[in-house]
Amino acid sequence: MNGNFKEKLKAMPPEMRQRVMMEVQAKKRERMRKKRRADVICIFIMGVFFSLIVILNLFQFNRPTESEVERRKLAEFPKFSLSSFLSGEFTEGINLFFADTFVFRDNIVLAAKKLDTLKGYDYSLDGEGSFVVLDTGVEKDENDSSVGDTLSSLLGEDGETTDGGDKFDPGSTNLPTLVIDKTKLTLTVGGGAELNAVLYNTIGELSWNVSDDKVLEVKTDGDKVTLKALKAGKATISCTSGALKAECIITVEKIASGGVDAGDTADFMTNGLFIYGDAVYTKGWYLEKYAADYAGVLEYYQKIFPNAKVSACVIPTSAIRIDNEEIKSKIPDQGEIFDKLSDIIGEKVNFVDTYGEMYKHRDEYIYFKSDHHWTQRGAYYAYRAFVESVGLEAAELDDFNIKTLTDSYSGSMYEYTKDERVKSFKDTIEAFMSKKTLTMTVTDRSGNVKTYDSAIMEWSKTYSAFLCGDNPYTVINVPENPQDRNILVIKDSYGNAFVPFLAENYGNIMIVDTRYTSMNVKEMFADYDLTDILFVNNLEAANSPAWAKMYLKAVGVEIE
Amino acid sequence: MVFSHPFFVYAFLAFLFVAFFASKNNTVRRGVLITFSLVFYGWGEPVFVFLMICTVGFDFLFGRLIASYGDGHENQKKLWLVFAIITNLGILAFFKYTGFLVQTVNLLPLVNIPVPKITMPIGISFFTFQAMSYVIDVYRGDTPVQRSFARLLLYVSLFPQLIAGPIVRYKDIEDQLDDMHVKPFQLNDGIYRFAVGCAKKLLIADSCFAAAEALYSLPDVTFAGRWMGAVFFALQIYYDFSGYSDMAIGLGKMFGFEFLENFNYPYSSKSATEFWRRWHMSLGTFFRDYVYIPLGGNRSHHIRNILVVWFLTGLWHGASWNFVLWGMFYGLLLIFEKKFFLGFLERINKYLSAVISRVYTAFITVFGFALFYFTDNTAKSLGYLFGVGVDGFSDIFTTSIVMDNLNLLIVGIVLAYPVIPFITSKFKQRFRISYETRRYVMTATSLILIAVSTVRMIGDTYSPFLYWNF
Repeated sequence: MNGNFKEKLKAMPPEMRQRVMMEVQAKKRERMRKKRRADVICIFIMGVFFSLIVILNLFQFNRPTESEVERRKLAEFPKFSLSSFLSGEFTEGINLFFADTFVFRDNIVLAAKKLDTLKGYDYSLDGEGSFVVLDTGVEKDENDSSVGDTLSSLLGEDGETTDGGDKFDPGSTNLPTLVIDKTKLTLTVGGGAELNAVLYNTIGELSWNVSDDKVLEVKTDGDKVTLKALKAGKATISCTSGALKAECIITVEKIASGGVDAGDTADFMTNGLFIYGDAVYTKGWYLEKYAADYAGVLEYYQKIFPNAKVSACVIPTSAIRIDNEEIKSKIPDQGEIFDKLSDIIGEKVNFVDTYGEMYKHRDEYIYFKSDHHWTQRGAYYAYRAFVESVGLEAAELDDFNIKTLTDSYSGSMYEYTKDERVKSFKDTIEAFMSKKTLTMTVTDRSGNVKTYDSAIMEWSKTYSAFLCGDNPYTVINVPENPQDRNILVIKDSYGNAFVPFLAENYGNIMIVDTRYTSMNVKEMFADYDLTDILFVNNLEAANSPAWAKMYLKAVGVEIE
Repeated sequence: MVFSHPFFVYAFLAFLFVAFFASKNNTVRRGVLITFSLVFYGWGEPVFVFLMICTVGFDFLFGRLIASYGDGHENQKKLWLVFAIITNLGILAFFKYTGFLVQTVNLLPLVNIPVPKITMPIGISFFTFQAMSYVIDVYRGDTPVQRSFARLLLYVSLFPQLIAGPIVRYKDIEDQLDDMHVKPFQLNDGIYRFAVGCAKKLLIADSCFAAAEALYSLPDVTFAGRWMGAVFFALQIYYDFSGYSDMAIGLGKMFGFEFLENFNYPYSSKSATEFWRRWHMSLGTFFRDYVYIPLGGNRSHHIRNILVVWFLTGLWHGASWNFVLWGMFYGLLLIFEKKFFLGFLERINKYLSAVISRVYTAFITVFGFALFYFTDNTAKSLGYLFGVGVDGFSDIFTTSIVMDNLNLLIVGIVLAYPVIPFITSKFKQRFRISYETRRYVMTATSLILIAVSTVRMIGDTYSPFLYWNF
């Protein structure tokens, strides 16, 4: 109350003063009550919203277990054990479970992505001509069936595939010839095979011979011979008829003595990686719907390039190396996954048995420990599986000059795990340098064109040594190979270690990385005689709508 | 448990509200708070919660012992005080600084002790300091001894400030330990403050961190890239730390506790001296009252005192030499300012002084935090900021990342200044707005901020497989 009022108060008689004071106090109390009421109403409103969410959350009956948006299993309520409680794992698991099964989670996650776009503005670079070099990064996946829908309209009801590729047709000559259906074959100990010999333009008796019967057991039956691999080594099967002779060189490899077993515990991270023993592994993933989309995309490529043979090399993750049952029970079974992929993709195009071949060699150094890529040795086995599947002969490992680029390579896994231990996992980069003369022309991300006389940069100490890293477009020409044997390779970064091997067989190799270019592959190769089209993708990319969309975009099909 | 996690907000807090407000009895409410605080701490540290309780136990005993001596027993009191300080600092040093100590000793030639890996209990830097401050204040006679262990435990373990501050001094809330009643306006204020802190951390700080990391992971190092990264780091640390303090203060209010402010728009400072009166104020006052002034303050050995305090400030922030370097950097700046720069600013033209002081402060702040962040390769990282070893001024990827976060950058910089208080005060001067309206507006703001923060909270647990990129 102000000074004026106080003086008036003093001047009043006591009873009146008391009454006035009481009125003033009453007004004050009324004012305080109103204020208090406003606050109480505010608290009540907040309380209603808060309680609603809390109750909806705590009393969910059908908690989801998988997220299609994120393509992973959602966290489950953790198992209680004294050790997991004391280490804090149990309580952390509850936090994760609560967040993962939060009510309306999928909607909230999508809203969060929209919220992210408020941060700033999209900025991408435009080049000139048909070649536009893009920024790194592909847009994140969303739960969509747009790829599948588009594919069904592209492929029509019966997606026909044509069997492209040239094969030697012996019947085109008139000379007497003896041919065995394979000139090179690789078996593992205990494995078997059948060879057939055919006589053209003449008749006669066939006799079979083996150079080393300790390596192979041979059972002959006229023009057929059944082989059984007894021990590791090399042996030549020859078939003769009069003066005609044909040979097949058989290499028998030992069975992989076993993969990695470093105990029953591994550190699993939330992004699909885990640290086990002295390496970082990737779990692998499979979703039938997305694999079907990928298959459909390849089928579409086959349709628009009817004279080329489309093949798919899907590469398993490093987790195939692991033999420990406890760990295996916690990760997807890639054997099963590749069986399913073989069915789904193999129905449409040539599905290469990369898994089988790499699994056989899983005790070799086929993946890096500190990088998410495979080594070139691993890529070699995939190459072998591929070329044999299209009827060509694979080069042997000793057809190359093997060089060690570095033995202290520390790759990408430190970035992805941010775990100090990974810094101590050192890798060796072996490079298999071709003995053939070749020219590689690279168009890089800034649009510059450079030429090299090798597909592998000897001076480099990282994975970018292979094909000079990821570039929009690369061409390799090998003059001593048949110039009418051409292959278009569409790849992700796994392809880099693989492609150099193709120089052993192909005259021209064209490599496109659709992440960095917006070129239209269909237009560009419309008048070109492609023998083969090969997709080299890691398991992830073969199960990804983003990649499927990117590949469709590369042939002019845009999906929103 | 972390404040910005959905489990804390929508499960822990929910149960706490019900348990706390179910009874009006002070003892019951104290018991509820202690129980929930211990659960809160034990949730993340099921073993170390006992360490925390023991620390409080020791300091409770030390306090009682010191107080039991009447006047004239200075030596005995001092003895127990020294004991208490050694115990508290010993615990802190053991868990936080052993590894660092060994690493430092290993720098000597021929010395190679294996570095022990000791897990540091969360919040140890805060609760040991708080418990210690209680004993020192009892010794000095600044506060009466607390005879109830429960109340002392409540003070130290109070979950809002236990893990990330502010450092609450015992004498500041001593009288709030008895009366557990919460006024409606306090609860309302608390909710609003918590909402603001949540939004600061989730909407601004986390995104700034992502931008900074993106810039620092570019394969080519550019001058612009490094500086922009440093700016984003500086924004992140402010919004993260002040956001946490806001949430702590808000949570305290919700249960009837008024903590002192910890941040006061530090980036609007005009000098390093002013900066430290606005940044992490509870730490600054702690060192001032317990180290600087006992050592003589600005009366004797002024420069030595400043350097000691800043050495300790840096060291408190982390067990690594770059933190100490950061502290010393500020110590030297403060000496420079006191002895020369502040005087200089006063003598020159006012407008020039306003500009120079702000540019200078912005530069030292951003540079200082770059120092703060780089635990390895410190020299090389600092070199980049001066153009040493960079691959160029800028490149397309740097521009792309900055453009991608442009709105965030602008909002972050603008809100670091007291823009909103300025606007609201101008508003209040021109229009008369009733208390009720103000409260409703505040509640609406709280609801919006919490809703958006929740979206971000859940969105952040989104972790798809990274690999589509390869």
